[in-house]
Amino acid sequence: MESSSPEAHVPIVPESTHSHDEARLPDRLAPSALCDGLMDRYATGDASAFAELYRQLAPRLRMFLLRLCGSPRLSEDLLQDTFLRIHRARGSFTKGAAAMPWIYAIARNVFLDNVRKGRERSAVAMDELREEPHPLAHSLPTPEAAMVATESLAIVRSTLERMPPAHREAFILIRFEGMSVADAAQVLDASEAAVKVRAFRAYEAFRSALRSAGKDL
Amino acid sequence: MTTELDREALFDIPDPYAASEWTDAVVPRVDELPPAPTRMQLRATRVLAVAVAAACDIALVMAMGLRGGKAGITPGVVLLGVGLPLLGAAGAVAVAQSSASRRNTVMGSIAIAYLVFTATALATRGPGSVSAEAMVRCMVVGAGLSAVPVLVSILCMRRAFATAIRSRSAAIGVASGLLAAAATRMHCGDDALLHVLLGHGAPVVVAMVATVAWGARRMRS
Repeated sequence: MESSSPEAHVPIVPESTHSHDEARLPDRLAPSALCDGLMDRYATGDASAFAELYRQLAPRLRMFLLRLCGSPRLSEDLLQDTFLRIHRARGSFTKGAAAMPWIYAIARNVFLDNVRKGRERSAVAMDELREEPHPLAHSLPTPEAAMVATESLAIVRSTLERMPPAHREAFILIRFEGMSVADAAQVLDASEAAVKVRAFRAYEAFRSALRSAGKDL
Repeated sequence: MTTELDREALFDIPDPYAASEWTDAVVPRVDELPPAPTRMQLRATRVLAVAVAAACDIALVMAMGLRGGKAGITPGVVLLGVGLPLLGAAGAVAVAQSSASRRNTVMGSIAIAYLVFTATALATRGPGSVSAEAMVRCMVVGAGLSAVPVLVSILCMRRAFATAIRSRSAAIGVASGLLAAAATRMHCGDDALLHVLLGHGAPVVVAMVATVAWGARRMRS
């Protein structure tokens, strides 16, 4: 995948962001085995496993739902619904199965049900986040670099909102949730080839949007 | 790129929500949550549900009358005409509960239904009519016998699947239809190949469609 451009102006992602993301990926994947065990315990009736499962997963699932719906308030409501459904369906969790794809699939179902009910991505809620600075703005060398990074984030956010939901989901799971293509395919109930194509199309959409705004990857 | 996704390159795109990381998760009290069955309780409920569905079908067959005369209940009919569909039903339930993909679940259910029916019909073929009237009668009887298994499976498989809901509910429908097909064989003494394939096979398709239509939403977690 080519990611450099001759008409580069200012790099939109500073070095520190790369290292931040790359460092975060193993952390995101680490609790999988732990969650498998916790979910298995909870499925057999160990109530104490619920609190630990919630502590491990709530922040991740809330971010996943936030990336899908775009509204912090709505994502918290959806998170509560997700845990309620996990609780109700706990007996159906297959022994020895991977918990993460199962849990993410339930979270996605909650989001899709919400979309069907008509409470789609709220434009008002999106405005809550629109003017947020880049998370690493304070570590950037100049105010100009911080401003460029913040603008880039706004472009990424609006591109994420506009792209087809299937592309958005695939990209979010692989890029932001750190899932393998196989796990993402399980969550999305699609083939691995289809998920790869969707994630790539999403990437192309971001790249095109950033380039047309004069930013470079 | 279309065949190999370069995951590293995806990290060129910054996370627009990274600033919204949330770490202060307040854990809800588990005793405030509504009651939810554990795996063992759910398994016991499902075993009971299968027993209830089988008992209902046996009672209906007894009420309608067992196959009699020359084509009575022989060991071959019991073993192949009844045993094989029941084995197929167990296979379809296993397919529904496996982690197979949507396509594999559908293909697996169809393959089980087809193989079971062809094998049953071929192995037990004997004298009988190929009249359309007899065939339609068995289709109606089979559809009626599949009503209880379909209803029971929809109720006891509530919130059972998180993904591939339609294909998994179709597999459950195939299992319900095969249970009804086994019961139909205990009632109908017509062993003509075409009669068994169509007259006893069509209710499996009806059960599958009915389970997907009425059950898919309820089986989704």
